[in-house]
Amino acid sequence: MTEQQKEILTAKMLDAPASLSDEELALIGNDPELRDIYEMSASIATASAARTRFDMADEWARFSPRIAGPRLKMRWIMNVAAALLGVIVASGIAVTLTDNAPTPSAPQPLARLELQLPPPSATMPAPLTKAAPEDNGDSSTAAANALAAPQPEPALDIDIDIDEYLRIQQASIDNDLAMLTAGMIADEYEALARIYDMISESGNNPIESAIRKVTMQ
Amino acid sequence: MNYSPSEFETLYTRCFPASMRLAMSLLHEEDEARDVVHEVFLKLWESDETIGNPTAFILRAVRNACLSRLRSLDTREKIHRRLSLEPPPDDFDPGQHSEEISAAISTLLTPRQQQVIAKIYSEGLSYRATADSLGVSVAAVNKYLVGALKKLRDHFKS
Repeated sequence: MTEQQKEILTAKMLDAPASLSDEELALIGNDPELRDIYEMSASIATASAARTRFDMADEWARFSPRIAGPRLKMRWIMNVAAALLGVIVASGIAVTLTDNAPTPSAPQPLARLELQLPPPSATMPAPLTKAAPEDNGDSSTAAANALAAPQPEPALDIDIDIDEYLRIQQASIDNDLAMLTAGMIADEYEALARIYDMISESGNNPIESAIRKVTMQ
Repeated sequence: MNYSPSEFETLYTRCFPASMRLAMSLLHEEDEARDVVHEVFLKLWESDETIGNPTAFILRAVRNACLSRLRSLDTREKIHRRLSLEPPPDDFDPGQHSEEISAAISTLLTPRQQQVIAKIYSEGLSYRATADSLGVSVAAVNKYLVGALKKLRDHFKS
């Protein structure tokens, strides 16, 4: 390296160090004179930095917010307590939502009730198909009787809360209504079938007559 | 031990200047130096341990934190910041170092060299800005500065 090259490199090192290439950095590191000059420059920079003055009121104002809250240990304890509380509350919410949410893949409430309630004979009305002959086919009376019949309390032998109990009761009522409706539909079907047989036996079937009229036209 | 806020403010006011000067002289970056010092004071604030000499503890912790940061810098970054490529001596005292340098500058260098040193290192000016403010060429600034550095180097080597 010539003296001129060294002078240029020195100027670059002192004035614009960011523009030094990797090769130039290596040259500085390997040249004792350049390195000495650099170290002296760094030493002056260090001395200059050590003479920096500070406004302590300003410095305390900068730092004090960082210690304004509770200490880290206390914050940690508070965070753990809050997290535990959160987990407990979230668990409660999750259990409630899971119990109340309809799940397509889950068995229908009717099936669940059969497991939790007394046998169907104790809670459900007698089928209307049997009651109808005794009441001369008055299915509405049978239905009213069935609805008015006292419902025995579900034989629950596990501890459940009031919401759970009300939910089971509601499901029981829904189940009774569904059974009642099915019975009424079956009665209506049987009644219609009997009427059709009576007409057919008399030889004057109005439906067949109507079909013949239409086809003749 | 846990300091009360007023006790801690007293300690901070007493120890911050020396801590900051140490961090500045090791890192040459004011924001980074302040960051290091704040971290050390925070550790002290959170600490439950009884510290017999908090001033010594703080200075040692600041020094260790600065050295840790220096180790992560490569040569380019060090030269860019005008940091020494050598690790600082164990007994490095920024106050004493600064006094020695100042004394050598004022006794060994010409007034023009002293002006150039002040412009570049204290005011942080470039060669061009220094040349403009002193009414000389950029080449002359380089000549004054390199001459000054060589004089100082010879002085401290001897």
